[in-house]
Amino acid sequence: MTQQRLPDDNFEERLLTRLKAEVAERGAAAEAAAVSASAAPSWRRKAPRLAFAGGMALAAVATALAVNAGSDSASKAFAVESQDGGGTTFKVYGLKEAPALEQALEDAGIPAQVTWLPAGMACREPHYTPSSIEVPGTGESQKGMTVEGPSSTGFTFGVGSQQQWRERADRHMHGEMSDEEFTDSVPSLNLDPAAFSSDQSVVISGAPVPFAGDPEGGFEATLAIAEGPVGACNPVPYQPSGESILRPPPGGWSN
Amino acid sequence: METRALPNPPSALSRRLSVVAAREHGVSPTQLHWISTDAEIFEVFYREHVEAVQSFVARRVGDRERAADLTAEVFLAAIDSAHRYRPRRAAPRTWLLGIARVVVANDGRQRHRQRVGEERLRGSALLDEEDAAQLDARIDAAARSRELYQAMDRLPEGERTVLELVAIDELSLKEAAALAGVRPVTARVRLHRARQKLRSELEAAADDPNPNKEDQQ
Repeated sequence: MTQQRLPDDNFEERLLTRLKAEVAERGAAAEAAAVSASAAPSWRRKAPRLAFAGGMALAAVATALAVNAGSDSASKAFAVESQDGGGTTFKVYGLKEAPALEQALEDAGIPAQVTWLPAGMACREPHYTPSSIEVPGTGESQKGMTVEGPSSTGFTFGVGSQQQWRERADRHMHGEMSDEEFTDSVPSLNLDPAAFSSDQSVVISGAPVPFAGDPEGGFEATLAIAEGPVGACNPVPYQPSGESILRPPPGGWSN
Repeated sequence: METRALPNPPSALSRRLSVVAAREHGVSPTQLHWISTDAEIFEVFYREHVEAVQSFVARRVGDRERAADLTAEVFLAAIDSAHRYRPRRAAPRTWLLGIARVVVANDGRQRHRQRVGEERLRGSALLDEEDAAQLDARIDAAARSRELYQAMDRLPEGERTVLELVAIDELSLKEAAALAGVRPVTARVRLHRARQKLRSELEAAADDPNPNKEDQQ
């Protein structure tokens, strides 16, 4: 058996490498099986959907595809709810009321630019300077943004303290809160006003996308943290993928 | 406003966050099932427990290559059975050491047969000279534990199991009870009895001029 040798290699690391390869192989096989099983992804047809781009834990931009199934939701672009123990949850079903959402965010302590665009359009980029945001759990400085999701209704995010989020995460970590309860009770994304520096803000833009035969049945939105001045959003043609970046975990969605 | 219910699938990002959370807090009971399919979460779990597993094995096995093979097999078995893990029944560490117990016990029974794990991953094939020295040191340091382990051979199985887990592996009585599948009060009684018997056993061994104490399995 040929071994990979590295200067600081040892038995434990070599064993880890081999075991990780085994796990990765199983993960890929399970994911392929799950994707195959959902070739006609019923989960997309059944439900409003939220997805954030994988790997954005340390990135500044998240893209969400939220699909509203009912036409009534279009009449109410967003809802603001108080969280238990403080903080605010924003449930966004669309960005048609962009100025009101922008104001509500600012009232909650988060400077924001919110833009609702016609279908097939996006802001010409760059119109701001992306800022790096770190999430709890990195073992590094924790500020700005925490993310958990998806929620059961549209594009949900919260404005509240990191402490509150962490208390819930700790309960989840210690098995006192189920995965389901955690994802239900914790906003998809949490913004802590105290963690924002004076030159940071939130930039949200979105446009309708086709869904379930309705050319504007869903919407795709991008949320980013900006640093410094944010320019005006100049719409340019854009072809949304129309595909949620949500992928079934190995073994399917349910445990 | 009407939106239909979501099945609440974990997103790719949610999984990513689980990784970073695991790095800070350790792999939680509710995340453990992912160790079989998520290499990053597995790595956190492995780093968290590899030393405990190595020590557990070294306390029972006096041969370096067997110890390496068994360490690999314990983690392979954990990967195999992660989907059966139930958070309410045992903490991740207790669950893993329970697997280690079974793997070591099975190794004793199957030594003359080809082990299933050998075809997938032989830990001993990953050893170099420096590793061998370190493993030997770990095994030497566990010599006293193996003496105790052997001295327990004549105890009834139930008493031996609890004593082994508490005295050698330093588990709490509650953990040992969970791993042995008995109530804590039962474990306490068994531990008391086992200690009394073992004390007599070791006192007798101390008078033996030619003890054969090292593991010769």
